[in-house]
Order: sequence, then structure tokens, then C-alpha cells
Amino acid sequence: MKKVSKMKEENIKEVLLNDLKKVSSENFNEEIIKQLNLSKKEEKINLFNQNSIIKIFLMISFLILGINLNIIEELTQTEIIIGIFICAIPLYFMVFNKIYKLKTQNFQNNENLI
Amino acid sequence: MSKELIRKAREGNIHALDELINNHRDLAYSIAIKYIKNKEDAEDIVQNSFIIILKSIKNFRNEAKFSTWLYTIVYHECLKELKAKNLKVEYIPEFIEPEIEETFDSNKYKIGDLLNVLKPNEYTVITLFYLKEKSINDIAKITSLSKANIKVLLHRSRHKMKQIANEKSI
Repeated sequence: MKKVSKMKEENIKEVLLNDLKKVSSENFNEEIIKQLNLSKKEEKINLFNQNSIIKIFLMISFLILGINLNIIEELTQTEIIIGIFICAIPLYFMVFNKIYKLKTQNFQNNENLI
Repeated sequence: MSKELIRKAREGNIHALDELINNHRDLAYSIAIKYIKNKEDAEDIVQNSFIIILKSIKNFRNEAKFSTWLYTIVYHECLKELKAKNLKVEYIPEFIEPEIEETFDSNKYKIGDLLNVLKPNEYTVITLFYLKEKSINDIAKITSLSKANIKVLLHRSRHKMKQIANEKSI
């Protein structure tokens, strides 16, 4: 059996530190930071805030429901359909958001290609 | 200081982000290359891990927690890559084997070639323990190994290093 010498913690640290492999890519940090900025920009591509759309949707729905139940006693089919359309107004904003997002993404992709 | 660095990085300060990446990239890369054995793939894994962790930097208050998560991602990304390539990581028994001390041949190794001497798991554990001063608990979180396994790996790797030190008389 071989005799093993006492090795201090500092020696182990020093040996491990000297043995660390260096990243060869020169733009390693820049590429990471660049990708982070890109993702931040993508998040900002929105015409309307999704949270406020949901809030408006809930407010309008409750308002319509309140009007229907308290003011109008007997609802006709047309009134129900109009009510549903009004409730769905915030959803149109969501569709606008989606269209705007796709449009800007296409624009950015074209710019990258150029 | 580390809290200040994380705070600045959270605010999007490029110098802070740069410093944060510099503080951990070499060790993360050394661990990755130990598993993957390919420079480009290892760099990609480390880069992706940084992107993942920096996207959720708002959840971190200090650098210690940040680095624990970073090495967790790097470690598991390496295992995922190995799995994709159908390669296996060594099984670690949950007890310390003293007989290794007798059979280990230190003549084959040089101090500068520690990456070749230590197995991927041993290297990961010993570097996290000594260079990043992570506790056994933290290393267990990072590697998903039991504390007993971590202790075995630490014992083994320390022993190998002592053997080399003995040969080269550090």
C-alpha cells in the first residue's frame, strides 16, 4: 500500500483552479447578453396589456349581466346575442395583439434576412 | 458584494451581467466538458444554461443561490445530452471503499491532467466543494445525488488528488 501525504485544502484549491478549462469563444458573454436583450424586446411587442384586457372583459361581463338581470325583465334572443358580442369586445383586442405581434415578428425576420 | 452584483444584473446592467458570467463560466465549462468531451457542445450547454438562469434572475437575491441553480442546470443539461447520445454516468455505491487507496496507480497521472484523473461526477463534486465552497446539501441539490454519494465522491477524488500530490510533492 502506498503512503499518502497530507494535502492542505489550499493545495487542492490551487490545483483545481489551475486546471480549470477556459471558454474558447471570444464573444461568449456578448452572445448571452445579446440573446437576453432580444428576448426582452420580444416580450414588449404588445399593443395592449393582456392583464388589463382580462380585467376589462370581467368588468364588461358583470355589467352586462347586471343590466340583463336587473333592468330588462324578459330577454329576447337578439338582446342575448348583442350582450354576448359586447362581452366579447376585449377578445377583439387580444386578436389585434396577436396580429400586431406576428406582423412585427415578420418585419424583424425580414430585417435579419437583409 | 454578491447581492449588489445580482441587484445590478437584475436591473439589466451589462457590466454586472458580464462579471456574473465571468465568475462562473470557466467552472461551468470545465464541468460540462468533463461530461460531454466536445468543446462546441460544452460551450453551447453552458451558454444555454446562462440564458435560462439569467432570464429568471429576478428570483435570486444572492450569487450563492444563483450559482447553485446555474450548476444544477449545467449538470442536468449534460446528463440530458449524454442520455441523448446513449452514454451512461458511473454508478456510485453509497459507502466508502478504502481498498481504492491500495490499487490506485498515481504514476500514470500529472497534476496538470486532473481532468483526466477524476471522473465527471468526482470532478463536479470536488470543484463545487472547494472552488465554489458549496455545502454537501447544495451539491446534493445540484446533482440530485444523496449526501452519502457526495461524501463517497469527495473522499475518492480527494484521495486521488492526494496520491498525485504525494508523487509530485506539492
